[in-house]
Amino acid sequence: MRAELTKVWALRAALGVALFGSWVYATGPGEVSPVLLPRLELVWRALVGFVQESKTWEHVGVTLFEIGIAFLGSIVAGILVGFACSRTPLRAKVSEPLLAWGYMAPLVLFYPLFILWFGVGIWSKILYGVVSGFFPIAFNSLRGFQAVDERYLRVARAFGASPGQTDRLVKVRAALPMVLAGVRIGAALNIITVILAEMLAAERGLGYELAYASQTLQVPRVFAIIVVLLCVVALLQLLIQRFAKTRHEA
Amino acid sequence: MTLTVKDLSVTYETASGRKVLAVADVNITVQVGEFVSLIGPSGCGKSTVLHCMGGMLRPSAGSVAVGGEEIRDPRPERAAFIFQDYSLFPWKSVVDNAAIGLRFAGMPKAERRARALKELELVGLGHVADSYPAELSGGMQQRVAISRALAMEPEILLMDEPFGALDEQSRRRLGIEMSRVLTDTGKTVVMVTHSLDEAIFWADRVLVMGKGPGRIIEELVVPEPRPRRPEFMTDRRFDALRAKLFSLLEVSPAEEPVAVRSAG
Amino acid sequence: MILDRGGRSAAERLAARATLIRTLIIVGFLVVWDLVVRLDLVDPLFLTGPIGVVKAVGSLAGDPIAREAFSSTGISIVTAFIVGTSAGIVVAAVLGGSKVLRKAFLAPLLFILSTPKSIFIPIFVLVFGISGTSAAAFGAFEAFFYVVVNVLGGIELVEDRHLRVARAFRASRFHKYVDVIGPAALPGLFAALWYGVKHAFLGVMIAQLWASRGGIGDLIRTYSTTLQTDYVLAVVLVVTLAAILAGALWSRVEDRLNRWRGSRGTAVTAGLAG
Ligand SMILES: Nc1ncnc2c1ncn2[C@@H]1O[C@H](COP(=O)(O)OP(=O)(O)OP(=O)(O)O)[C@@H](O)[C@H]1O
Ligand SMILES: [Mg+2]
Repeated sequence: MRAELTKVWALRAALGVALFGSWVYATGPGEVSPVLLPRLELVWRALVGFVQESKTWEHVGVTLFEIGIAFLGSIVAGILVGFACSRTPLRAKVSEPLLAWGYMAPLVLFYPLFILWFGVGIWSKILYGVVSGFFPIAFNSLRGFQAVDERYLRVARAFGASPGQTDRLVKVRAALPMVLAGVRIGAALNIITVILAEMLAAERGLGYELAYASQTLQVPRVFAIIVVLLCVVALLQLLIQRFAKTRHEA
Repeated sequence: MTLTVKDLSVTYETASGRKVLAVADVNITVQVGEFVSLIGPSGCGKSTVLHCMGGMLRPSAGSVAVGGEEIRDPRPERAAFIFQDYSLFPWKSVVDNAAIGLRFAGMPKAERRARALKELELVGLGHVADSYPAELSGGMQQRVAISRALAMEPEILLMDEPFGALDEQSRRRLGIEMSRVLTDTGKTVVMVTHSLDEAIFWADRVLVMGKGPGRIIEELVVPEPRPRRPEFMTDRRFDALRAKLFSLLEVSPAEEPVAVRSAG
Repeated sequence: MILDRGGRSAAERLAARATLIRTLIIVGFLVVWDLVVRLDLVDPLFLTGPIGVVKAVGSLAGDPIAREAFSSTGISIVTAFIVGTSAGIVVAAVLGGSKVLRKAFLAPLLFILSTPKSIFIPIFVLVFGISGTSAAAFGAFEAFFYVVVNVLGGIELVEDRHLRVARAFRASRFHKYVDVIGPAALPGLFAALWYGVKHAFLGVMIAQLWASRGGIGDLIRTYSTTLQTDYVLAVVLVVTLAAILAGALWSRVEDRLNRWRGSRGTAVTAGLAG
């Protein structure tokens, strides 16, 4: 076990070294234009500078706020709709394809419309995030509530559970893994779409900063912001993993 | 050809690098056409011995030989496996599953299908040849696995708890049926089992294994010609053997079903 | 099964009713949309009625610029798919061959898979400029990760006990791949192809929306900045319908392909869009 773990980390380290090694080589002896690939120390300096700007944390805050609200919105809407649609076989049959289609639609293309309708402020991002997170959550919740094992329901009936108790104590619990799977996908989509939306048209936020740095050709800064964004995303994912996990799901 | 296991020891290395002596100094000789069953507590190394016999596992010390030739790799046309969990390929039809070893051996399609079909008919499954494993009951799937092994026309069959996953009823029915088939075809068989009844009813000889490390602690001969009739199970000699096995496995008769279930 | 006079089962009747209601919902949606526009509840600059959109689709079909945009986007998507998918399959095959390699690199791959890959677009634009090439390259980049992860997912579906049978019955390396690993990993491979197409498409769209000369993204950007909302909606509608159609078709094909899996039959999906 330990031997394998050492190997795993050695391999990862090797990839990292190869990556950064070729970067150093390309920007040094390789003579790749600094406009394409800045030297590592420039990126580092840009990163330090960027992190120290007070504005940066405002941008981080805006992005996190948008993602957070979008996440809440799509969870509430998704689970409610999924649950409501699962109540009768007819409703489920009617809504399942509709939700699946919504999930299949290339929502990227709709963003210009969101800008048109809701402006370049934070609400176009939030609503866009809500919509894209909504479909997978609703779809999975519908599937989850529908697929509750007959046996559990029979136990609930046999032991005299009221309909409300059956919903709360059996159905919701049994559907949880599936719902959470949807939540994980939805959350990833929230993050993806909010940041994309910021890049496409915004006034604030990390995505906006990235787009701005790129358009003004501040190349080291572009790389620095990408690094910051990756860190933010990694943190958010950690949070989601904590949040969207049930005990019996392992 | 005689199957000889000589001074067999197997040491496993666990993932953390610890060495475990699973089987030590096992000696077994199985004559042609003989049916030997291997019984013992869970984890005593039965599967390990069987896998060495089939060349699936290299001994750490000692040797396994068939007719004097040492076994180092699986050779299904000499000794074929029947696994407890059937392990049929769900994407292949029943007949293609039965013919898979022949396909691996490079036999032309028509020929191998004909042969597989013959074996399927022998175990009473000719009518489902074109079905898929998922459409079959557990007992039927295990019979396909048996056909898969028989189709190789091996001299030796190696069965690791072949009926372990079946319910008592199917287990007994299939057991009696297979016992007939195997006796008729004159196969040499080594079978690992957890069932005392099975161990005695099928076998010419019962080898009892003990634990820590795995070794053979006793050998019982079942002096009754095969194939045996179901009535043999109510025979007094059968009871005597069974009682003997009980005491060897250090299980009191009252506890037996529990112990048998939990093992395996 | 209880049959009605038309000879249909209860399940079929339910399905028919559901289809009817679904159609009604869609029609109702179109009617409301139309009324909202007709009754001047919103500024016509921001929303065009369904009829206007359909008209716009008609004039788009005759517009050489729009046709050029569609075909250049199509070429970018195909290029992105071919490059991204083949690179993905090669990498997955290498990783699939070794458990240690898989352990080492699957986690980083999964991480990148769930990040907004759009943050890397600026790099693509730096390297390839604002052209169809950078869109295609970004599409390939997007597709690549989905393909690797899905093919690996497929390889994970290969069961040890089946490999054991292959060994016990002396399968050659060729047979091991053709008769055991291949069929078992097939759902993953097909899923990989599907996600390859889907994300090549999405990647190209995203890159083009961000910055491009030519292509559907450019078209949408131009129309929306000039407030030609009917055209924006027309383009979005056409592409969306095409995407949904392709998706629905794929689900059918997937169901059929996985039939032998019985009821356990859900393929591996690294179900992330964007
Ligand atoms: N791959 C392995 N790595 C490490 N130890 C192993 C491995 N396979 C088996 N062992 C150990 O070797 C011993 C014998 O295992 P084996 O599977 O042969 O037992 P068994 O008698 O077949 O048990 P059961 O009746 O439960 O099937 C056990 O203690 C087991 O833990
Ligand atoms: Mg065993």
